[in-house]
Amino acid sequence: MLPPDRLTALFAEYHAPLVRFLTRRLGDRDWAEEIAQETFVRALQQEKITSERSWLFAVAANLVRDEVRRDVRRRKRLELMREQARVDDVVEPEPTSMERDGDQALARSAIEMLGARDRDALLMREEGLSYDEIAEALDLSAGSVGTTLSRARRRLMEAYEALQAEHDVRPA
Amino acid sequence: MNSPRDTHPDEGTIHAWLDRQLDATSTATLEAHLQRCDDCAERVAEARGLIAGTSRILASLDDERSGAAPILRAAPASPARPVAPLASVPELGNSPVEPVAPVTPAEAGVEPGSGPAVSPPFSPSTGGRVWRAFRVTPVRAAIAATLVVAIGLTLTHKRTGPDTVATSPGAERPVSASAGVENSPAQPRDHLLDSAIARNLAQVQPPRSFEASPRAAAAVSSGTLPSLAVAPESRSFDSTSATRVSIARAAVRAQRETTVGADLARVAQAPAPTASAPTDRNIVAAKVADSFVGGVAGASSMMTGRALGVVAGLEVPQCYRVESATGTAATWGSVALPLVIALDAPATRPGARILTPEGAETDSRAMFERTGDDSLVFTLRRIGYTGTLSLGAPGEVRAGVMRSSQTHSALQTMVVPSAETKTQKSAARRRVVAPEARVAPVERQEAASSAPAVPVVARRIVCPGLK
Repeated sequence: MLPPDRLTALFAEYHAPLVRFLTRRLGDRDWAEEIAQETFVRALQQEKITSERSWLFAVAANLVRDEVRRDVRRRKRLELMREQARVDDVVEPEPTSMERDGDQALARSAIEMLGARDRDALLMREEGLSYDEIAEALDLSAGSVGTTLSRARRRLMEAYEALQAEHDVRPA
Repeated sequence: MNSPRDTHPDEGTIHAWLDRQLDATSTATLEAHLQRCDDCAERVAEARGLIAGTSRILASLDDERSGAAPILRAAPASPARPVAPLASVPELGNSPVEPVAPVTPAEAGVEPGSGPAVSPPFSPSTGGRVWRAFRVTPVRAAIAATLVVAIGLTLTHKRTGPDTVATSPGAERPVSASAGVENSPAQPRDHLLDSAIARNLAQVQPPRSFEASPRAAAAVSSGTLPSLAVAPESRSFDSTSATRVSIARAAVRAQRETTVGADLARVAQAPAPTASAPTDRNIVAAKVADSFVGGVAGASSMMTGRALGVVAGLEVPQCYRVESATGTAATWGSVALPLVIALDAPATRPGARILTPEGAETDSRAMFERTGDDSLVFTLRRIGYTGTLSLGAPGEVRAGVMRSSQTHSALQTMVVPSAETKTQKSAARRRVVAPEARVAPVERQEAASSAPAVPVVARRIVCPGLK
């Protein structure tokens, strides 16, 4: 088990970037806080962690993936319920996230359109992880991180611009 | 032209270079290639754009508040949220991430039997309406905008309150001098100027604690002025502020007219409505002299202070002791800190003398002007030197930044226009300026701005030699 003082140091150093990474990944600060907390619980259970930052981000990415997979099922169910609610309440206009949140929704949609690995690599890099750390966290070769990131960046920009163009031509 | 031996780097290498993740050898090779290959230089520029663009997109996600993405977010589960089994946690030497399995329609399908954890919070009667309740609709946005505008108008109205008090139809007009000028039907009210004067006058006088300026007090003690000893009850904040606002307005209007002398005489000779008016006028003059230094907005305030100095027949110089905020030794031009800046009396031009702390004259002078509502910027006037001294918000102590350096050229940068009157300044603006003349101030400014900044504090003091 990791010594409490070491865990405290880990928390102080990596909690904020981890939460930011998770918030960007999930779009929900509370959810991100939960998963970050769970990540540190996992860290506490380890005897020793050598590459701490990449380990933490890898565990967090795994937890996100599990949660999202589980959430997709919930989402389907929620959408069905929303459809039902819309039928019941015809006054309510269809709330589209793009109309509500503008650029933020565009960014959220664009990031969701990336592949999981590209998205994680991009978000980890934004949090300052080195290529080696990203490679370790995502089980990539160090030489392919640059290619992954360049692809992810290009696709994100293309997706964002496509969404923006679609949003612009859509009648108000 | 590209050498045949050059190999163009792939996009991943360019991104790695821009991310500073390439080793030294690869970096050197790439940089050498970029020197020769225009195509790759363009790709680098494109990659820079991609990096900046993605950073901007990702940063926008940080604005999301809790629940801003409700589609992905499920209801908070039980306190022990189920997470991936420990076997999926990466261990060093093991594969840290398992391949992402695509979500099949079967996985994503509705699971009627899995309701307990999900259905209550998201039932149409609970969760759905919660989202609806917080959704921004056009009507809600319009209401919010209306509220914001209303609050802004209310706050603005409150800030301009003294002006309203002084000029409302039923309000008492404390000094007939203001009435003499204000009653002219041909002169529209300058609300912006009035409110600025009122606000800044209110700032220099805290409510219910009125103090005459040190210089005025010194003058009284030396017997050169009528006594400032006014009964406390006669120094009501509201009436004094209203008086000063009225006088300020009158003076500004008088200054604007071509018949300045006649109007000033009319203002000065106007009968006082109360027995304490002459004394109040002296107090007002002293405080307006303060406001001249301490915060009446822009050139209008300078004009106001100058005019009122004439009106009341007062010359109230102000002095600031300037010293390094960090305690380090520094000089402004050729004068070492600490130094004293003695502002010329309001009735004269906006100049200042640079004194030693003991009050001895130096060979330097300064001109000053206001920037914004309450900052003072002094420009050093000393042959062979250039410098600025910017002081912040008014008060007994002002924080600021001081710069100075020696000028590099001999004569050109030393050409300093003499202090101009307002009329001369207007004429100068219309005058076609020779290129050489335009160059000199720019050079001075650049020299001053490139000099190291020294944080300073300036305390208002009684001018040395006047104690």
